[in-house]
Amino acid sequence: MHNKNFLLRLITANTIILFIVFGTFYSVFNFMDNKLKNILEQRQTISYFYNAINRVSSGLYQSSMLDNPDYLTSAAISSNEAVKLLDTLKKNGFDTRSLEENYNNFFRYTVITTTFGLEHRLEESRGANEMSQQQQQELLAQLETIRNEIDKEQNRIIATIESFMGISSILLIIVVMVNIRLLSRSFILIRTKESEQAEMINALGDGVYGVDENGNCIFINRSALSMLGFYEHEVLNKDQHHMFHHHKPDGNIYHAEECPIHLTLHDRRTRHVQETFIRKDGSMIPVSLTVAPLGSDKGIVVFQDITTMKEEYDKLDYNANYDYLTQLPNRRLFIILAEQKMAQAKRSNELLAIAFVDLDGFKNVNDFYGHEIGDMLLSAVAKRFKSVLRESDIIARFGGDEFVILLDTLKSESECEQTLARIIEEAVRPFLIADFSLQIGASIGYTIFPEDESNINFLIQHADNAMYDAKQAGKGTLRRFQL
Amino acid sequence: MQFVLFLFFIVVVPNVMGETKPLISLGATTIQPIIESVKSSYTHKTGLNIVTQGGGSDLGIKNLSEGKINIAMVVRDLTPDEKSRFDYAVIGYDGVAMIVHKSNPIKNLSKQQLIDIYRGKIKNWDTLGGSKKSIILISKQSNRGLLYLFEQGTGLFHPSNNANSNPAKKIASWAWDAGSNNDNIVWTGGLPNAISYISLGSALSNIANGMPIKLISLDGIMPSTKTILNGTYPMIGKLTMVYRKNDSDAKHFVEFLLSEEGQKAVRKNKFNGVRDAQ
Repeated sequence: MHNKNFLLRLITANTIILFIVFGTFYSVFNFMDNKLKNILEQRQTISYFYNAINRVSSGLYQSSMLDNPDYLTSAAISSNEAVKLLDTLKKNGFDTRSLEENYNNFFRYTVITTTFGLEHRLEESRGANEMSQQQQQELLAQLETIRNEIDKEQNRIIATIESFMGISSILLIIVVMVNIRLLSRSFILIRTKESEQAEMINALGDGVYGVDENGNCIFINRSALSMLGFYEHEVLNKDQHHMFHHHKPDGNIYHAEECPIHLTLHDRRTRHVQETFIRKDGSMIPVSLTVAPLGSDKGIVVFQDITTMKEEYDKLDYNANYDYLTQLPNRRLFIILAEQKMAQAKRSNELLAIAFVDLDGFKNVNDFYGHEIGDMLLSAVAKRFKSVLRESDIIARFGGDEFVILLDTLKSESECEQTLARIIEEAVRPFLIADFSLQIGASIGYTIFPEDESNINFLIQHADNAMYDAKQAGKGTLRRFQL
Repeated sequence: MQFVLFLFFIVVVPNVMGETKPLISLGATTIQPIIESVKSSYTHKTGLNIVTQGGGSDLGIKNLSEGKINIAMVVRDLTPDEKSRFDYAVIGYDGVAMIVHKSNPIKNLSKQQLIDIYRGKIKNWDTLGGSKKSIILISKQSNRGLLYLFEQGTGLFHPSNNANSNPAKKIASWAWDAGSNNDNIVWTGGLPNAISYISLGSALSNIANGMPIKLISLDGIMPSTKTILNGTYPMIGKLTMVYRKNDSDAKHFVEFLLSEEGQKAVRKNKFNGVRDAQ
C-alpha cells in the first residue's frame, strides 16, 4: 500500500514537472520559431527587394543603352514590386520610412539618368547618373545594415532556443536522476523489508510455505524443512501435495481435490485444520495448519508439529477415563461405555446386568499392611476379576474397594448370577502379595436391565443399594436389587 | 552600372555626332516620338538625316535663336515675339493629362483639388478617399512646355518662377521636377503613390505599351480627342514646329509632317492631327 502510494505520487510529480518543463519549452519554442519565421520572411522580402532594385536598374539602363523606351514599362513594373515589398516589410513591423525615402530618391535619379539618355542629352545624363549611383550605394548600404540586424536577431533567437533546449535537457537529466535516486532508495527499502520478512519467516518456529495457483511450492522456511526432512531445492516449484501430503494416516490416497490447501486456492477462504504430513523418510507428522490466501491467486500455509501435543492430550484423556492403580475404566468412562451398551441391548432386545462389588475385609488389610500393600492387592483383585469376565463385559473401579461390573448380552439372570458368584469365589481365594497371603471377600449387589429400566446412574444406585443389602445379610453374599 | 553607362556612351554618342549637316530638331519631348517615328522614312526619301533631342520647349526656342538647331519643338503657346521672328506650324493638338498609378482608386479630381495637391495643401491620398499614403508630387522643370500649359490651366507657378511671389500660387517646393515625359511616366508608373501631369498622347502610348498608369478626369471631364478638339478639356497644348524663316530644309520637313504621312505619325503617337479639328 505504501509502495503503491509512493509510485502514484512519483508518477504524478513526474507528469507535472514534465508538463511544466516541456509546456514552457514548447510555448517558448513556438514563440521563438514564429519570430524566426517572421525574420526569415523579412530576410526573403529584403532579398526580393534587392532583386527588384536590380531589375529596375537594369530595365532603365537597358532602355537608355538600346535607345528604346519600351524597357521603361518593365522597369516601372519592377519598381511596383519593390514598393509592394517595402509595404510587406512595413506590415511585418519594420520601420521602412528611411528605406522608402532612399528608394524613391534612387528611383527618381535613375529614371532621370535614363530619360536624359533617351533625350540624347549626355552631359545631364552623366550628372544624373552620379546622383543615381550615390542613391543606390546608400540604399544598398542601408539594406546591408538591415540584413546584418536581421542576422543578429536571428542569431539571438537561435541562441535563446538553444539555451532553452539546454536548460530543458538539464532539467530532464535532473528529473531522471531524482527519479533514479527515489526509485533505487525505495527499491532498497523494499528489498530490505523483503529480506527481513524472509528472515522473520525463517526464524519462526512454525513451518511456513507458500504455494502458487497450481499448488507448487514457491517458498518454504527452515522450520518446515526440518520438520518434513526435505532440502529446500527438493520442494521448491514442486506440488507440495505430492511431496508430503499424498496419503492419509490410514494409508489411503489423499486426493488433491479434498486437500484444504487446494480448496483455499480455489475459494480464497482461510482454513484451520489438523492434517498429517508425511516426512521424506515416510514417517507421519500430525500437524495443525492454517492455510490462507496470499496475493491474488497464491496461498500460504502455516503449520505446527502437534505430535507432542497429541501425546499429552492422549495421556490426559487416559487419566481422565482410567483408574491409574488398576488400569480399569473409572466411573466417568464406565458411564459412557455403559450407556452405549444399554442402547445396544435395547436395540437387540438383550439383557445386561450392572453389579456393584464391595470388597470385604479390605480395610483391615489396608490398616494392617499399609497402603502400598493395599494398592497392590487392589491391582491384583482387578486382574483376577477381569480374568473371569468376557471381553465385551466392562469392569470399572469406582474408588476405594468399590468396583462396578457390566455384564453384556445375558441370556438369563442365572448366567449373571453364575458369573457374579465366580467373582465372589475369586475374591475369597487368597492373594499372594509381597510374600503375604491375604484373605478378603466380596459382597455384590446387582440389577438387570431392561427389567430395571432406569438411567445408568439409577442402575448403579440400585446395584449399590442391593450390595448394601448383601452386606447386611452377611459378607460374601450376592443380592439382586428389588424394586 | 558603370559598365552599362559606358556601353551607353559607345552606342549613343556616335549616333549624335557622326553625320554631317543633319537636320536637328530639339525641344518638347512630347513631340520627339513623332519625329523619331518618321525620321528614317524621311531620310530614305530625301537623303537628309534627322537628329532629334528633348530638353523642353524653351530650350528648343533658345537653341533655334542661337542658330544651333533647325527646328524647335514647342508645346506651349508661342509668344508674339516668337511668332514674328520665326515661321511655325501646328502639326497636332495635345491635352495635358493628369495621371496616377493604375492601382490608385482615385478616378476624378476637381480643379480645386488638383490645385490643392500641387500647392502642397493636400499631402495624403486618404484626404481624397484613397489609401493612407503620402502623395509623391511630380511636376515639370521650368523650361518645359507642359509646365506652361499646366500653369495656364491651374493658375499655379513653378516655385523657381520669380515673376510670381504669391506663395499660395506656387507649386510645392518638394514636387519632383521632371524633364522629359518619360520621367513623369516612369516615376508615376513605378511609384504607386505618385501623381503627375503629362502629354495625353504620351500617356496613351505608354498605357497601350502596358505602363501601369491611368488617366483621371478633371472636373468630370476625361481628356480625349473629343474633349480636346471641342475645347471642353481645360488644358490643351498645340504641337508646334518652329523654324527660321529662310530654312528651306526645315520648312520641307515641317510640310512633310503636315502631309498625310506625317499626320499619320502624329495620330500613331496618340495625338490629334491638325485636320481632325475641322
